[in-house]
Amino acid sequence: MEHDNTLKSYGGLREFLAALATPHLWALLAWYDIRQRYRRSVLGPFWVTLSTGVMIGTMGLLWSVLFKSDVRAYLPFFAVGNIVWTFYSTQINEACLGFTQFENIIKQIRFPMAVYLLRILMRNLIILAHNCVIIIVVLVWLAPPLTWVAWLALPGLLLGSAAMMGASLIVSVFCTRFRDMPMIVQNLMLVMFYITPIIWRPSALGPQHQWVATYNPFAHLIEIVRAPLIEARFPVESWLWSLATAAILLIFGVMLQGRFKDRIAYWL
Amino acid sequence: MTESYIRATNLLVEFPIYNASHRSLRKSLLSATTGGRVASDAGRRVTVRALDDVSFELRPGDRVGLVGHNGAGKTTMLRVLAGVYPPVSGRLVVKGSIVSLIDMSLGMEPEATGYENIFLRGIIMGLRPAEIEEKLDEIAAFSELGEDFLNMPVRTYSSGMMLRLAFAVSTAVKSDIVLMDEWLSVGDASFNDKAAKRLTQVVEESAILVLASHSPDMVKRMCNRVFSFEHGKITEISV
Repeated sequence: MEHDNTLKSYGGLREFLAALATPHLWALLAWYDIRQRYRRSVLGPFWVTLSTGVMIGTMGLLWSVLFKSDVRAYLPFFAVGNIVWTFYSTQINEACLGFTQFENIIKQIRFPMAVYLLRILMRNLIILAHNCVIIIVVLVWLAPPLTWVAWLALPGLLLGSAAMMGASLIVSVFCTRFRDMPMIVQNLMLVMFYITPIIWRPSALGPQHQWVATYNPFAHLIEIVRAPLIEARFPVESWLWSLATAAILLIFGVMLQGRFKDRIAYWL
Repeated sequence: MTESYIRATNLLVEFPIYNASHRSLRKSLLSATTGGRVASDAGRRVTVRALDDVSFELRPGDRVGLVGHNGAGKTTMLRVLAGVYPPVSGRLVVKGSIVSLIDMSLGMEPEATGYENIFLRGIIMGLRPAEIEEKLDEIAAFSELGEDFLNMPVRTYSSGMMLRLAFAVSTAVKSDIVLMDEWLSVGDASFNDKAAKRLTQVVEESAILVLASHSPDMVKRMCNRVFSFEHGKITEISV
């Protein structure tokens, strides 16, 4: 480990790449975190699967009755959308406390700041992998037209993760400096849940309110995972939206980290 | 190893204090004899100046003792050298690998087993899993905890056992620059002798030692240069 504090031009990109290049600092530690959390439980992380399953089963039935839509068509839509949303929103909410949570390490040793956020992302991806059991069950059971196109959900998820990483780089800085921010972000995410097509379909909006779904990046970030799975469709427009969202978030996030990475330890 | 050096030029480290009612804090801290200098910057934010215009150069063979009151800037200096607090102004160049023994058990988890903790601690020290794997047997042997205990969660350990394990991992790496906050001592008499020998060896094999200490004896014994800290200012005193 060598450092020269005058090389501020190291910048965010170099630091971000350095973080990506040390997977043992996030992938391995994320794995330990998950094992830690469920150390003495019998079901372990499958508790998350179970509770998500119960929630999706109940809500899926309830909503389909309320919206008077066919359960067989509605449940896969709601299940995939909700599980992907939970992954996105948990990541953003946890990233708010990404640096404060690891204060003890940050104050003792200098690692690239992004390793803490990648660790949280990895944790949430592991949880998501457990929740995928539900998606598989729902898809096999209710059998929408499954074709090879369904695999395109995976690159979609990868793109979604990249966008969430970008968002994490941004919110972590603001939330560390301004301690009211985590609550603001939390509220914002709650609102987003309702104005994003997760429990309702975009078609229910009617033409004059269609913009709510069209100009909502989260709608597209969910659609790129959901459409291949339940409609065997590759959503080109949503992919373009998502690519743009991920690029903007990552570029801004990396720049912001580059500007403030040397101040974060002081703010803790 | 002979290439490693530390060069600090006019380092300034200031901590912003947010949410502080700055008048009262300012009054109470300015009059105190310990601690850094409290002032407010241009934006009327309260700041604590922990290091004030610090310059020095360390070469291979230097064994530096940092002495001074509580809050005079010793630990901050160690953390600045570790790269945690990049100075607000001034220039710091550190060349060589650093091992920080400021907190020996950083990264360890009570619920994880002894073996897992060797990895957790090793990773936080900057080792790669393959490197830890290589040293695993040696670390396990040095800790004298035995196979059975190393497979048990660390929360079942006595505090002495826990320290032994932390010490065994922390001192398993050779490094160019060693940073230490107080000389480490561990556990019972017999282990302490062994530990002291190992720690001395780590220090001897390093190029530069920076030791913050309240013990004049320790500093006299281990160091060939002494920096005295007062209100964040540094003066080199003869040994």
